[in-house]
Amino acid sequence: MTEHAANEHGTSEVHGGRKRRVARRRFLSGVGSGGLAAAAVVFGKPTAASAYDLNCCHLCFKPSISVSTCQNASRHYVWGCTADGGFLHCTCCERGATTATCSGVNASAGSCQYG
Amino acid sequence: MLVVFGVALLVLAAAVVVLFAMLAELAARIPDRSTPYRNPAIRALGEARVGNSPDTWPVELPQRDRSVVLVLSTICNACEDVARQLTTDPGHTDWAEMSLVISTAARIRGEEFIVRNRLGEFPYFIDEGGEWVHGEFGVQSSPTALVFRGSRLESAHEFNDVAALRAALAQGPQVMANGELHREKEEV
Repeated sequence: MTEHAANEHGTSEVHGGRKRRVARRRFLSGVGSGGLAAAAVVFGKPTAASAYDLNCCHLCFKPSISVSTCQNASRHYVWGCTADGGFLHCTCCERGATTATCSGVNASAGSCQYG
Repeated sequence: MLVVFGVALLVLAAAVVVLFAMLAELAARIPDRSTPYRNPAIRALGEARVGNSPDTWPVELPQRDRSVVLVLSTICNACEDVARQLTTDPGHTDWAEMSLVISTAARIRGEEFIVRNRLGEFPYFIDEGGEWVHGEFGVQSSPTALVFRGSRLESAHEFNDVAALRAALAQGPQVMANGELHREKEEV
C-alpha cells in the first residue's frame, strides 16, 4: 500500500514535471511568436526597397529603357516633374500593369533636362 | 532556469527596441541638414490651356470663386517634398482655397500617397493616369499650381516652394498670369 502510494506520488511528480515543461514551452513559444508579431508590425512596413530616384522622378526601378519605348508600351504611366523651381524638367515613365505596388511594373524610364 | 533566461532575453530585446526607438526620436528632432534647398522661383506653365473651363469638375474638389489646385503625382519625388511642406514643413492647413489633384498610375497608389503624407485633411481628387488634368488643361507635370476663377483656369505655374507660391499668389492673379516670378528666399 505504501509502495503503491509512493508509486502514485512518483507518477504524479512525473506528470507535474511534464505539465510544467509543456506550460514552459507554450509560454516561450508565445513569447517568441509575440515577439515575431511585434517585430513584423514595427519593422514589417512595406518600403519601396527597389525605388530609384532620378532627380525629381520617383521610379520603381533604375531606368533601363528609353522614355519613348516606355510610352509606346500598351500599359504605362508617364508624367513630368519639375525641380529647382521649374528649371529642371524630367519625364518619368513606368511600363507595365498599374498596380498598388511596383510588382506590376516591368521597367522604368526617365530623362531630365534644364530649361 | 530556462524561464529566467527567456525572460532576461525578452527584457534585453525590449531594451534594444526601446533604445533604437529613442535614437530614432532624437534623430527626428535634429533638423535635417540634408534637406535640399528649395528654389522659390515660380514659373508659368506654358503647356497649360489657360482660359479653359473643363467639361467636368470632380465632386471631390470644392468649387469656389477663386481656388488653387495643386497637381501632385505619385511618380514625382519633388511632390513628396511639397506634401511635406503642406503638412509639417511648415504646414499650410490654413490655406482654405487650396485643394489637391493626385495624378497616379493606380487609384490605390494615390490613396497610399495621401495616407503616407497625411494629406487627408485637404480636399483631394485622385486622377488615375492624370486623365482629367491632362485632358482638360493639358497639364502633365508636377508639382503644378492651377489657379481657377470659378471653373475657368486663370493661370498655371510650376513651383517647388509652397510658401513662395502662396506669397506670389497673394500679390494677385495678374502678376502670376503675366509671367514668371522670381523671389529670392530670405536667408534665415
